[in-house]
Amino acid sequence: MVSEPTAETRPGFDGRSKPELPLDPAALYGFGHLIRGSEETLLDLFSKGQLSGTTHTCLGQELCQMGVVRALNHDRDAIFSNHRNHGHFLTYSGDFAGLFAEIMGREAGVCGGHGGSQHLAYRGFHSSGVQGGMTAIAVGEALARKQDGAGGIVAVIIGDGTLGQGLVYESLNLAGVWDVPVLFVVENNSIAQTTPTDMTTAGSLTARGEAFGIQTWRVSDDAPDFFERAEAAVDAVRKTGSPGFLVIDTMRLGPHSKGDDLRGSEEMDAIRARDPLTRLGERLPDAERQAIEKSNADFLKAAVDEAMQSPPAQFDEVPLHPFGPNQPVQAKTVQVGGTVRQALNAALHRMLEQSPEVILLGEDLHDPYGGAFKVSERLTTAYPDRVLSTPISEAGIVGAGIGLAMAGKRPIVEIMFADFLSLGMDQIYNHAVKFPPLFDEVTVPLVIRAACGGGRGYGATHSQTPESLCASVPGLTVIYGSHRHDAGGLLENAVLNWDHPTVFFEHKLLYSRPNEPDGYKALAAHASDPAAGLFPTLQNGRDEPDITIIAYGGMAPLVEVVAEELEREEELSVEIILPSLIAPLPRNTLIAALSDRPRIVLAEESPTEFGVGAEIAASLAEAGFDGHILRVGPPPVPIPSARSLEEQVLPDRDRLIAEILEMF
Amino acid sequence: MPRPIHVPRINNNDDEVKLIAFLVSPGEAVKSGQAVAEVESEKATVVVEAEEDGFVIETSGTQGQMLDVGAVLLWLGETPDETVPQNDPAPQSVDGQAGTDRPTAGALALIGKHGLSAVDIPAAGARLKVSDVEAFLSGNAPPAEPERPPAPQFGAPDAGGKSTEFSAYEAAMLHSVSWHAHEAAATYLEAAYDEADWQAFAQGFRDRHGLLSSPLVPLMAYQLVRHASDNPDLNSTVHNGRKFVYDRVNLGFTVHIGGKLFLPVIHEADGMNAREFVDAFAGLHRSAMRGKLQPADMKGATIAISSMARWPVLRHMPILPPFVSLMVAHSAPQDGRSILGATYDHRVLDGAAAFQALNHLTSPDDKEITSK
Repeated sequence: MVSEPTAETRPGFDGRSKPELPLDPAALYGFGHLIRGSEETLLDLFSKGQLSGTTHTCLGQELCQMGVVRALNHDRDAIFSNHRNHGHFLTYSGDFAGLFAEIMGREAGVCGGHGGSQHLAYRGFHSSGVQGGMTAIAVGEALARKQDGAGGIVAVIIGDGTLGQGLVYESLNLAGVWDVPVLFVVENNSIAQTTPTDMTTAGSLTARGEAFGIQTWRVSDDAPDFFERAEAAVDAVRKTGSPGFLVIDTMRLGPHSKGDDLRGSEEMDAIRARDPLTRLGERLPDAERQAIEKSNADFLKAAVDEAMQSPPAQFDEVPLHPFGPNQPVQAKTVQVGGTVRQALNAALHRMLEQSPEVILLGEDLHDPYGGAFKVSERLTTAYPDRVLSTPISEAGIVGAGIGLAMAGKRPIVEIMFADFLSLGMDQIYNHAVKFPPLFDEVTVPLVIRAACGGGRGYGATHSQTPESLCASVPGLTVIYGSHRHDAGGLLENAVLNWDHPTVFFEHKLLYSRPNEPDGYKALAAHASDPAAGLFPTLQNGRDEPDITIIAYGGMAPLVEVVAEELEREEELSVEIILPSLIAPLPRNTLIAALSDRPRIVLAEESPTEFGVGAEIAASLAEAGFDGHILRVGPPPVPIPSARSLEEQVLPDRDRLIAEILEMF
Repeated sequence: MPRPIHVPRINNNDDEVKLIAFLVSPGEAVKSGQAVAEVESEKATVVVEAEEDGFVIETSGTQGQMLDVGAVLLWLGETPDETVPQNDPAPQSVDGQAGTDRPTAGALALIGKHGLSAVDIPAAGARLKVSDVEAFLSGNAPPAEPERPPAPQFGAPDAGGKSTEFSAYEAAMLHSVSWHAHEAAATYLEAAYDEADWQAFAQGFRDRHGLLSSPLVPLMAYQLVRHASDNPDLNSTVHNGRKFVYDRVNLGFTVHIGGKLFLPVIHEADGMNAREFVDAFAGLHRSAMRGKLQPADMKGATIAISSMARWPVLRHMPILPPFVSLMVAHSAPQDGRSILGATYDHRVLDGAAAFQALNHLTSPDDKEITSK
């Protein structure tokens, strides 16, 4: 029997431990009333101009938000919430002052003011402002829980309005296929921002869970046994280790954000009449309820005062990049011999053998197929639990990779054709690269391998290399090695020695090339260039070149042919520079090596407009380079399928030579 | 009509396969289904079979060679003497590239570097090459200036000092007037000032010391000595391409006697106080007037001053004595305004240094003059 809490002891939540909420009306009402008071306090602070940005309250949904989170009592349980997260966060953390300070943009905020109302990270709790964006991440984290076997489940909480997002269904499918302990919670408040659910959601809500073979429940937050039933769903997922789908019917008492509620007074009256928090309070004797409410008001006033005393959040120094200081690079034996494909495959075998946290996800990896380009062959046989052949679900597996990384794994996600990276781009752009710089304790050591490049007649959607797209994402590391780099070493450094989300491009035409250094030497990495030592830039060694060609990835063999021809037929000394690190650009390494060169050609397989070559050229120009710069690459048109057409679009030997000769 | 057998694709993603061997030779008859060649990829070895009867006319490729998938591996004819159709388009040449008489890019780079024109340079072969440009350059280049042995320098400083290398900055100035390497690069500048302060100062000194004549020029000379003592560059010269910094300040001053100009020298003037200096100045002046100057009295000047105020000359440009880098010219005042000039050796001093020295003399520095 849980002892009845008193008004004096209840508001002792310090944000350092999860509040204990026994199943008795006084405790539940007391906490629900605190959440409501917090939301009303935030709206009041907003009206006084004390909030930073916007906020979304859970007025009317307090008990709904408490139900599942209250029952998540394992220390390895994790929660992925959404824009409307205050009730979840407070039930998980009890950190009222930290939440107020965060939304006020104060130093004492739970995320130091970096996150704000929508983006909170606190122990196992994460929220984000992209609808449905966290669902695959939650599945990945649940996969890690399953693999670790140390208990803990994951809850991912969305609203009914988010059921229009495709990633939700990828995530349900992955959860079902992988059979992982994740509870999808749909808080069905019948409205999506301003749009009623009947305009946004077809068919049945519960059938969505059932369709994936997932145990499914539907409860209402005004049911007398709501908390018991929510806890039962949590227990079922914990007990079975299998996914669950819980729909909670609730009603939003407040606007979506502020002043954006189009609902009529009649409808609002009905919602107020239903309000389960008020009904719960009415079950208490008046004196007890009033004592609780008085105590809560005092507690919230103290929390606001505490938040107010904190100064506005400030950077000591605005960071120039999110990568932190360079770590010393361990000297290692270069693995040479064999083809690029064999080198990458051997590196995958080595890492999986030596590092139990390494996990590989990708489509069609299973033996004997071994992935579309056979880079992953013989891996599912050797490591069936850690090399997973996945559904066709690029956004889902990139998201799952993020969740695995956040759970301490070193995931590698193989994307069959780099063209499909666009499907996972929200996961990269809004999630993988955002969390680590915003939240001190979060790292996302995820490597996304992607076979890329043209020259095979595969056509417009199977021939591209979106390195420019990726390099323009702040905080995303982009590696694109050549056959002259230690291909396996690059991959091992990306997976094991670099803690930041990374896209690792592999050109299809390089797979069969011998992986030989052939006399290239690494440029000295400039100390201010993050990761330049881990992912070196190679140089073919010409002391006073007439011309310098900078190329990477699949352009490397082509520029070697061009250089050989120019040296033989045109009596030129041709320097070749092969970066393997595209972003963060090894800017000062390149400037130090090339600022005195007379002519620099940037040979690119991707369109030159807004490209990587433009960034390199701009960096050189800003550093005072006064030689002649030329970019050679394709125009911004789709890559046609016919080999003869493709050859006309992509730069080839003759075009490179002709354009280079124009410089003389 | 011969028919081709193509290089087969073995794997979806391999565009080349390796030729293991042809199993037939040109002229040989083959049957449909007969193995004609073996090729392999990373994954597998494949036997290529003839699809019909015929005679091998031509094979393409050698053992071990990588062949493009889809290229012709072998031509099969109905008779052994058919010829392979020659309908391959002629290889396209790149505009302005091989097959033209365009100079090599290397040659163009060299031409550009030397500001030449390609039309002026004869080519030994079809294309103008680097070697042609180099030959042209060696034939047309202006004859290289023979390395001149350093001309023996006439004379040497005849006062003690220390020979040092010029600093890089100093050497740069020396080289900027390089045809004067062994002679002073004499340059002149001047500053205007009001001599009233000097006159008052000289009068005070004269009164204090009971002197017969005005010590204005000797005192100005003494202030120059003091200043040179503090600024050794003023008391330096060039010898054999090296900087020569004098140990002591020996002040030379002009004396005009009987249509002759003398430069008696007050040796080790930096060791004297003002009164000693003024006396030494007067003593040498007297010796000159009496024709008693000894050769030693006129040697070893390290810095100098000349006055033509008594004529009265308003401005004059003195000639630098040998191995002296600064000579100050004092002239007569006019309407309360005087010109102080200086000839200086631009190999050693730049205009700013000379002007600063001159400017320092435009008013008496009581402290400097009386400190010793």
